[in-house]
Amino acid sequence: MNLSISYLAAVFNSTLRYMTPILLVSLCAGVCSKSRVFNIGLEGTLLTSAFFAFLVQYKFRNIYLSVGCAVLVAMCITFIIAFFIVKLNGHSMIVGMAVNTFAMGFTTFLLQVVFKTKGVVSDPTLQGLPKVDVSFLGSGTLATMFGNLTVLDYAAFLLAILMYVIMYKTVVGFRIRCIGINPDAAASLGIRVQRWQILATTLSGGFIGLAGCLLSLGSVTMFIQNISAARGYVALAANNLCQGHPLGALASSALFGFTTALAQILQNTALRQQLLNCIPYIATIAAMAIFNGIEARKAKK
Amino acid sequence: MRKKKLQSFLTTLGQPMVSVTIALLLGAVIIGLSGENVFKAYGVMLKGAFGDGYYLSSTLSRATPIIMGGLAVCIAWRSGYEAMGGEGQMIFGALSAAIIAYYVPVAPFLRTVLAMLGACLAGAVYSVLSGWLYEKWRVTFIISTLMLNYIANYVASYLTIYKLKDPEALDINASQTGKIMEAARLPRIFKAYSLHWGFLIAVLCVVLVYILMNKTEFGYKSRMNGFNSRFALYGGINARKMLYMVMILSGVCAGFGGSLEVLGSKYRYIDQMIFNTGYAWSGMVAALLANFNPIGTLVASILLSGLATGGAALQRSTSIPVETVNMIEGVITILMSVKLLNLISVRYRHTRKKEGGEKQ
Repeated sequence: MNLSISYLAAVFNSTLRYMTPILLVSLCAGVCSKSRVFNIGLEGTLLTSAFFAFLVQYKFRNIYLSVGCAVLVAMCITFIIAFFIVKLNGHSMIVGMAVNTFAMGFTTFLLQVVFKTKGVVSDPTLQGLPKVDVSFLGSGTLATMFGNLTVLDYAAFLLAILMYVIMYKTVVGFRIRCIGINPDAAASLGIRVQRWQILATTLSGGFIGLAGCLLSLGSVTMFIQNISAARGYVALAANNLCQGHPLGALASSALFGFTTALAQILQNTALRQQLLNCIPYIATIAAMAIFNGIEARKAKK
Repeated sequence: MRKKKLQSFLTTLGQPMVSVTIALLLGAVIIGLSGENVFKAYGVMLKGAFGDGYYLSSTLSRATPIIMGGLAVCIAWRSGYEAMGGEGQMIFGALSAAIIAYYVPVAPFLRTVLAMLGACLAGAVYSVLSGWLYEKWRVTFIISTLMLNYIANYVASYLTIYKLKDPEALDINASQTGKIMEAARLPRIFKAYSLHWGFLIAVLCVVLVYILMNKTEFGYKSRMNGFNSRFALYGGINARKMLYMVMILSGVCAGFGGSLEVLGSKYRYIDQMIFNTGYAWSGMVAALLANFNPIGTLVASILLSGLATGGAALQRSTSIPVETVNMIEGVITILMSVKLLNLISVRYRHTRKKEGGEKQ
């Protein structure tokens, strides 16, 4: 393997590309966990919004419309999840699982009905998300590191910072965190707990919509059956690692972005594709084991 | 007293029925929107699921791994461990059964038995792994089991494609293990139909799990643990031992289910065969529909399996893809999660009380 600077730059670049969808989803997961709505429907939400981003772009060829539509779809689904969990007191795990099962069927069904195919749709004439022009960086290492990224990739980083400000520096964030720490205490302060929970979760669902756009209209413009490939679950783990902190999510999703990039890079070596695909999942478990295990041991002392 | 019992029985039965009805109505809307005749479509589904001996037997044989996956969920969830690792355990169970039954050079009958035992062991080990991650490393079940499912599928893929590929395959690209010899398979009950003895074994397992969970000390302890783990701890239940026992049992069920599928119906491990069919997930939905009652799980598994075979029939004769069934399954699940009838009856009682109060 040739470990030159330009090679490392390429690794850095693909790490960024793989981490942003996970980052966006884990931002949503962060709001959900801070407001005590345990949401595992992230995966299904991501899948459905990725599909709608592609569908709207295919039909109307308007990138703003498709991003808007994906965000809206994601918010709707997250609202349904929040409503069932908070208002109707449904079991959170089961609600989330139901959404994931439904999303799998729904996207495949629509794929069949609209595109008359099973598996993959791609259209070479389709415009993806606009790429950020980095020509001012020249054509050297820096250009490789930061080139070929879409607007939403950069937006993801800004949104993480924005979420930090909202959650930790404003009254709104204080209230949401308050609910997470102790709903009864929050209620006694006059916070309408259920309303806040549903509102906060629904709005944060928009992040998943953006992540969906990145999947189907980002570096490639195509929709593949089950395109989300457990990224929703990985984001859940990423969120668990950083305890719902938006800036922590940057670090934990970078870890998963890097392991995915690593799996991609090692493809040219003797290791087989199927085993390489395991790397991000193993890394998820390992990272959680290390962090939580240390935490638990500290708590014991 | 008797009235109360009847009422509770009706709510347990009514809940799934209401959910299933609403889901089927929604399915009707979807079928209608895609331009097919709703009645004809459901007719096709019903006939394709339970219509005659051929279809019924394929529904029952499909239900076999679903039942076992459901039992695994029943045991774990009722004890308070919300593990979703059935899929991974079933994959390794199926794979090890296929390997043992094909490669181990002993008498055919012994091969079958060894394959089943091996599958149980594989499922148990994989299940204990997630238990260990939870107990020692505080990795929550949901993350560890979901990740382990994907890992299992990829590893099994790798093994079937590169290491254990069928040496007699005509098609070089077929990623599957070798076909098990005829004498080592689970025989069919009727020659012409695909229903095999594995189904009856699964029914036997349902009875065993029912007895285990409702009539034994272990079952009582595990249910206590599920109700209130602190109370169970206070009552002197060894939480660690309980965790591992439950994990082993549920892993054995899932792994065994995988072996029944291999020995009774596919006769080999085919790449993605558990992952694509979603047996473990259907099992989970079935257990949920039955509120983690083993006997109810059996009935729900057969229903869900019928939904799938009916959906396949629908796909053959109309333009509606089989995935519509997933949507119906999802709707049933989400409706089951909120205990609709309880909600309604609580509201009803509430208003009645209020009215009564005003009268006085």
